[in-house]
Amino acid sequence: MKSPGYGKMPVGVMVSSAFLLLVLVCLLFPDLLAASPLKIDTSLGAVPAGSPGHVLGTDSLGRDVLDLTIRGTRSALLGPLAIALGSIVIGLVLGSLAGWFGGVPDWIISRYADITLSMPTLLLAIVAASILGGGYWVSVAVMIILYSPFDIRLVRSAVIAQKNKPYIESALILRLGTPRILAVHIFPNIAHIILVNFFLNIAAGLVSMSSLSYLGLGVAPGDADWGRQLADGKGALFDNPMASVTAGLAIIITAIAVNVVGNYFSERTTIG
Amino acid sequence: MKRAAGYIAKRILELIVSLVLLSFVIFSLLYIAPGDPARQLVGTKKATPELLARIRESYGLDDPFFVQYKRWIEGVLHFDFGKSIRTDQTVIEYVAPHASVTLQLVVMALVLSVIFGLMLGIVAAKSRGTKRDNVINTLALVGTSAPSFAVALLFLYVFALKFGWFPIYGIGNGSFGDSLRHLALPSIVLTFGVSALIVKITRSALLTEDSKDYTTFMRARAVLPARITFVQLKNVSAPVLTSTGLVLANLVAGTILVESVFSIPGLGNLLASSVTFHDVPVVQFIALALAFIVCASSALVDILVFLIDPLSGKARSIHKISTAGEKNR
Amino acid sequence: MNALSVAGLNVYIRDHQILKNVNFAVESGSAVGIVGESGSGKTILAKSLIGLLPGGGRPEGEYRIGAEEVPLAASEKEWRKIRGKRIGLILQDPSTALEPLGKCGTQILEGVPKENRKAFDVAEALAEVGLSADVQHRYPNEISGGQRQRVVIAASLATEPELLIADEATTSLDVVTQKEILDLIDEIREKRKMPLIIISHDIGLVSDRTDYAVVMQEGEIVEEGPVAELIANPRTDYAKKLIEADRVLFTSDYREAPKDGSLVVVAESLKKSFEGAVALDEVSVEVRRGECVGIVGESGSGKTTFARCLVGLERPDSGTIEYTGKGHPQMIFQDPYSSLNPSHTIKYILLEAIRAAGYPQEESKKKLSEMLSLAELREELLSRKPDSLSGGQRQRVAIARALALESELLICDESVSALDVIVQNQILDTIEGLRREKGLAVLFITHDLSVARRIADRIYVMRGGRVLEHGTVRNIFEAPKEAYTKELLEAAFAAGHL
Repeated sequence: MKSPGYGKMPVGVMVSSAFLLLVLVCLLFPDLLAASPLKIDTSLGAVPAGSPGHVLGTDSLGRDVLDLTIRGTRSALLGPLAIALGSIVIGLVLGSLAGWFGGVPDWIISRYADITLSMPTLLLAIVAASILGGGYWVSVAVMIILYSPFDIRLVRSAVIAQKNKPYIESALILRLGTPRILAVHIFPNIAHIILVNFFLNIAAGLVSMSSLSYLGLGVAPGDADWGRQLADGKGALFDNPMASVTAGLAIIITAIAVNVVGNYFSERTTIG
Repeated sequence: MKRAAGYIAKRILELIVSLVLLSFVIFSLLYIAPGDPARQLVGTKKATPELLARIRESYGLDDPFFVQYKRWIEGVLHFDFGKSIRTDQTVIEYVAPHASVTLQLVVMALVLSVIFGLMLGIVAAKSRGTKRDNVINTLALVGTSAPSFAVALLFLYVFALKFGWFPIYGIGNGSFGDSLRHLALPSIVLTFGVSALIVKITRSALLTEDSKDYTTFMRARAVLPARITFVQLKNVSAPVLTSTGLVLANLVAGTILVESVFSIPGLGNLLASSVTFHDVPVVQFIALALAFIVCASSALVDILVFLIDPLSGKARSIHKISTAGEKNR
Repeated sequence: MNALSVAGLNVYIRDHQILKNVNFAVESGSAVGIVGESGSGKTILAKSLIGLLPGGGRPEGEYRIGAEEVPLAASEKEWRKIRGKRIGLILQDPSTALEPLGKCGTQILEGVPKENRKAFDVAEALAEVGLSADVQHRYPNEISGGQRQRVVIAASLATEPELLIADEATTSLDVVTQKEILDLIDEIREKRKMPLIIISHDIGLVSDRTDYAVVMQEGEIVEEGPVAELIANPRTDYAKKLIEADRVLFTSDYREAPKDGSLVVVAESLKKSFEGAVALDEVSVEVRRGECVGIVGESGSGKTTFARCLVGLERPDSGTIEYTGKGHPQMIFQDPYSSLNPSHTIKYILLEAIRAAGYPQEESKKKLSEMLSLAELREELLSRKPDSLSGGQRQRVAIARALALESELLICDESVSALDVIVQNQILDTIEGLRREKGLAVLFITHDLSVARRIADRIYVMRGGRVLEHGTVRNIFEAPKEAYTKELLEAAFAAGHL
C-alpha cells in the first residue's frame, strides 16, 4: 500500500486513533481500568455524577457508571468485529467466485446480493433477533448474513476491475493457475479496499448491534453493554442522566472514530 | 422503448422476488421460533390440553409448513393479517392509529432531510476545501456515524431536559399544534442522520462532476456558475435519486429506535413492544409493511429514473453511491 | 503586435514546480505550436493561460492578452471575464467535453453571453463547422466522435474568442477524422483571422499546421523559432532527437519479407461477435518464422479482438487457429501502466514468468540476466516496483517477461502507441533486434501507418471486422487496391506522417 507522503496525519485522525487504542485496552483488559467485579447496590440506586466514589454516578441498580461503561466495551465491540470479519470472509469467497468466473455463479450470487440489498437491514435484524430469541451471537450471525451482500458486491466489482487489466491477462497468457492469479495477482491489489471496508463494517456493526441491544435484543437485562446501558439508564434520566448519556457518547464517539480512521485509510489509498 | 419495457419488467420481477422472499423469511422465522404459539394464543386463560388442541386445530398450527405459509400468504393478499394476540382487534385496526403518528414523523423528517441535505450538500461541494465545507463535512460524518437512538438520547438530555425547549416524552394531548411540538425534536434527530446521508451522497456526486471534462469546458467558456451547478445536478440526479431506497430504509430504521427513546406511540414503538409480548401477527404485519414500503419505493424510483433519463442503459450505467451510512438501515 | 504573451511564468502545484520561467508570445493572426512529450508541462501551460489550473496550482509571472495585463492569480470572477470572450479552449476528448444530458444546440448556446443570445443562430454556428442544423436537437452520444469535436469547436467559437487554444484536440480521433478536424480549424482561423495555439505531442502535426513552434521539456521551453527553421536546423539535442524520431518513423525504407520462413501460425476464417456486434468476420491471417506482420486498422476494426483470439484471451465463434511454434504465444499490451502488477517488484514479475516456463531454480538466474539483456534493461531496476519506472522501461519489462517462455510468436497490441515518440523508436528497435537475434515472428497491431511501415514486412488492413487487403509493405503503400486504404494513406500523408 503505497501512498504519497505529503501532509501530516490530520489531528482528527490522531485523536480518533488514540481513542480507539483506549477502547481496545478496555476491550482486552477491562480489569485494568474497572473495579472488579461490578457491585450491585439496589439500596444506593441511581446517584448523580460526582457522588463520592462514583465519578459518573451510579445507575438504578447502584452500579458505578464508569465501570459499567468500561465493561460494556467488550459486548459493544466483539460483535461488530465478528460481523466485519465474517462478512468480509463471505464477501471474499463469494465475491471472487462471482467476479472471476462470471456466468452462472455470478448470476446466482449477484441476484442473491441484489435482493438482500434491497431489504431494510436493521428491520429484518430486529425481527430475526426478536423471534429467534437467541443470544448475542445469533444476532451477530444474522448481521453477518445481512452485511455480506455489500462485501460480495464490493469484492466482485474489485475483482472484475482487476480481471481485465493487462497484467492479469499477461498472467493468463503465461498460463498461471487461477488460485495463483487470485492470490498473488488480484488479492494484493484489492487488499486496501477490503481493509477500508473492514473499518466501515465495524462502525456500521457497532451501530446495528447497539441498536439491537438498545431494544433489549441479544443481551440480557442488566448485562454490561452500551446499548443496554443506554436503555436501562433512560429510566433514571432524572436521577443520574450520566448513566445513559455516557453510554450514548461512548457509542457515538467510537463509531465516529472508526469512521474517521477508515476514511483516512480510504483517502490515503485512493490518491496514488 | 423495448429496452425500457425490459428494464421495468426486470425491476418489478426483482421486487416481487424480494417481497416473496421477505414474506417467506418473516413467516419461517416465526415458524421456527422457540415457544409454543398456541400457548401464546391462550393468553391469560388457563392452558388446558383441550383448549390448546382446540386452538391448534382452529389456527391450523399442526398443518405442514407450506400449507400454513400458503394460508398466511392468501390472507395477506386479501389484507387479512389476523388478529392481535394482545388486544383481539384485527391487526390493521390495531396498528392503524400508530401508523398515522409514524407517518407524520417520517414525512416531517423526510421533507426536512431532503431540503437541508441537498442544500448543504451543494454548498459543501461548491465551497470545497474551505472552512464551510469542513464544518458541513464534519457534521455529516457525525450524522452518518452516530446511531439515531444515541443521538436521540443526547438531544433529549440537552434540549429537552437541560434547556427545556421541547417536551420530554410522548405525543401530547392530540391537538395539531401540540403534536407538532412533541414531534419536533424526534424529527430533528431523524433529520440529523438522514440529511447527513443526503449531504454525503450529493457532495461526492457533485465533486465527481467537478473533475469531469464537460465542467472544465463549460468553465472555459465562462458559462455562469449557477448554470454549471444546474447542469451538474441534472447529471447526478439519476444516481442520487437511486439512493432513495437507502435513504428510506435509513429513515425507517431510525424511526423505530427514535420513537422508542421519545416514547412516541408509533409503529416503531409498537413493533418493539409487540416483540416483547410475542404478538406475532403484529410483528409480521409491521415488518412486512415497512419492508414493502422501502422496497417498493426504491423500485418505483429506479423505474422513474430510468424513464426520465435519456441515457439510461446506454451511455452510462447508474453507479451506486456508497457511504459510511449505507449499512445502518 | 502580440495577441498574447507571457514572461517569467512559473507554476507550482503543491510543492512541485511544474513550469519554470516560461516566456513566449503569439503574434496576431499567427498559429503557435507547443510541442512536448507527456509530462513536459504543455497542458499545464494551456490551463494557466485560461485560469483553469487544478486545485492547489499557483501561477506567477507576467501575462498579457493584447496590450492588457492579466493578473495570473485573478479571482474566479475576473477569469470569467477572460474565458470565452478572449480565449477559447478545445479539449482533447470530445466524448467527455460535452455534457451527456444536454442537446448539442443548448450546449452551444449556453456559453453565449446573455445579451447576444436572442440574436444567436445555432444553425449558422453548426454550418460554420460543417454540421447540419438538425444536430442541435441531438444528444452527444447520438453523433460520431468527429461530429462531437465539431460541436465542441462550434461551442468554443460561440463565445467569440479572440484567440483559441487547441490542447491535443485531435489526438483521440482516427487519422481520417483527425485530418478533417485540423482542416476545419485551419479554415476557421483563416476566415476569422484568429490567432491559435496548438498543443501537441506530435512535431509532425505542429510543423504542418503552425507558423511558430515552441519545444517544451520538463516544464521549460528548450527551443523555439519559426517552424520551418526549427525543423531544418534544430539547435538543441532534444529537438534534434524529437525530429529525428519523427523522421525515422516516417521515412524508413520498405522492408522485404523473408520468403523462406515456415509458417508459425495460421488463423483461418475467424468469426467472433459480442452480443450481436460483429468483431471478426472471416479473418484469415498467416505469420511465418522471422517475419513481422502488421495489422492496421482504426478503432473498432477488430484488430485487437483478433490478437486476443490468438493468445487465447477470447475464443472465436468459429474458424481455426493453428499454432505450430514452441511455447504459448505472448503478448505486449498497449498501456505500459497497467501491463505490470503494481504490487510486485520487477524481479518477482520476471522470476514468476521464468518459473511458469518451467526452468529449474538453478538456471533461473542465468535466464533472468539473458532476458534483461535482450530487452535492454538495467539490472538495478530489478528491486523496483512498476510505478517507479517510466513508460518505456515498463514496456521493456513486459517484453522481457514475454521472452521467458521462449515462445516463437510475439504479439504486440498497439505496444508503442502510448509512448512518446523517442521512446517509441527505441522500443521498436528492441523488437526489431529480437526478431533478428532470436528469429521471433512478430505480429504488430497498430492504428499508426508509420509504425507499421517502420516495423512490418507484410501488412493486413482491417476494417469493420474484415481483412480488406493484405500484401507486402511496398504493395500496400504504393499500390493500395481498396479505397479505404487509400483514404488512410492520404490522411497519414496529410498529417505529415509518411
